[in-house]
Amino acid sequence: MSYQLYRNTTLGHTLQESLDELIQYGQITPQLACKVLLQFDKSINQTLATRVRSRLTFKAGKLNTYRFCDNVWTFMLNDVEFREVQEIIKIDKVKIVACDGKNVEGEGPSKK
Amino acid sequence: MSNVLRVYQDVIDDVILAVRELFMEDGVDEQILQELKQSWESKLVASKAVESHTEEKGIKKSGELANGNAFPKGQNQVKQVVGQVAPNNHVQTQVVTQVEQRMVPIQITLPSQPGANGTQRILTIQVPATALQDNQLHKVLTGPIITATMNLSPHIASSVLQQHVNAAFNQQLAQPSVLSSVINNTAATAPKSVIQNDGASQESDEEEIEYNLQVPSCSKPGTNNIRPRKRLIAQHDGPDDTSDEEEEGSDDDEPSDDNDDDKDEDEQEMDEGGPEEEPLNSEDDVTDEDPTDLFDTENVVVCQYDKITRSRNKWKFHLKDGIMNLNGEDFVFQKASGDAEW
Repeated sequence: MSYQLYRNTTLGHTLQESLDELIQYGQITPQLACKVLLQFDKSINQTLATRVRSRLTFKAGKLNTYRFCDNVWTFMLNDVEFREVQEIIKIDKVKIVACDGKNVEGEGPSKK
Repeated sequence: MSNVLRVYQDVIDDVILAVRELFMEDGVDEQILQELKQSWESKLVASKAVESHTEEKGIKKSGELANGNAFPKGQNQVKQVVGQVAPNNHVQTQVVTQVEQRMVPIQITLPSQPGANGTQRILTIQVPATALQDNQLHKVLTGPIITATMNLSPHIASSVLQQHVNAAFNQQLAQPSVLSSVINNTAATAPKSVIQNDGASQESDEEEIEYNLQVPSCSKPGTNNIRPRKRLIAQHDGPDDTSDEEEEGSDDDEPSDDNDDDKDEDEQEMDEGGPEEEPLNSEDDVTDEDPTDLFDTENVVVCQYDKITRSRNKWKFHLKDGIMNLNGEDFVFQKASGDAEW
């Protein structure tokens, strides 16, 4: 079972919206939609691990809050600068949600 | 950052491939699977989280880089996304030209009836702009029709012609047949005569159409004909609400600028503070809530952590496999490391 963490992303939300539409029109069952989402979890986890190569660094002006619960870290950072090779992106406020990268057994939190 | 789109496309394809079997098990048609895919892709594009100008790049690139493309599959897929999206009109870069039909006044000069009054009759009818572009007016105002109207008085003739025009372009017309205000007197005789003062008559100033018929540039000032769309509706709630007891009580003390019931209660408790002071910040709580972000989107990073360390108040983050949404735009990373001070 893979982390359901990535459902709270653009890709995840758009998939859920599309599935909800199909459920609404009665074209698929909610159970099928659930299975699709589980498959999505698998695919996204796999793709991120293998297909993506970019690395970046970031520096925050301030760590506003931190939380560690159920092996999930949640940070609120202020005044952050994300740096990739070519570009720099400055953000006033960012939220980081991170699941344990070492152990992927068991479902992560399914964030809405 | 078109590689984000490629990554997403990979995920989409992977998921669709994998669930195809699930769909078949459930007895769901392949067509619906395709619908899901298209809906998913178009929503992605519509979200603008992936750079939308990569689509245009995709179109150009596929033209320029026929060979030597490291990810030919990716390019084709980008193009394919555009191809699929375009018919649905979800792409915001492509403008759908099917807007509401514009009516353009066309002046028709009828030759004077021989033997009758020597003056030429000038009629004005409203024609959809598209009809003129296609030069369809010829088909409508054919010989027999013109001949028939010659014998009629100008007022009736124009209404007849207008009806013909309307009937011919029936499917395009969303509004009832229109007479220009030049022929005001025909309102009694012409059926369905509604003087339209907005829409085409506003815009008719801009268009000048060369045609066999004389076309006047509409001299009506647009502003006079605009019916006010907004009517002032008397508001009975808010400051003027008389049904609330609390409101009545505080009306004596405070100016009736206050709309909020809660605010009234708070102000009754703390009379020392000025009436404009936010009760929120007057407490001891030090949280600085900043609800007005520059870009309304809460910038989120969803990832996994390799290692999180702290030394006194210095935190170090080692993250991996993440998807970020910053300022509305999506990014992905394999590894990220950062520092912060608490």
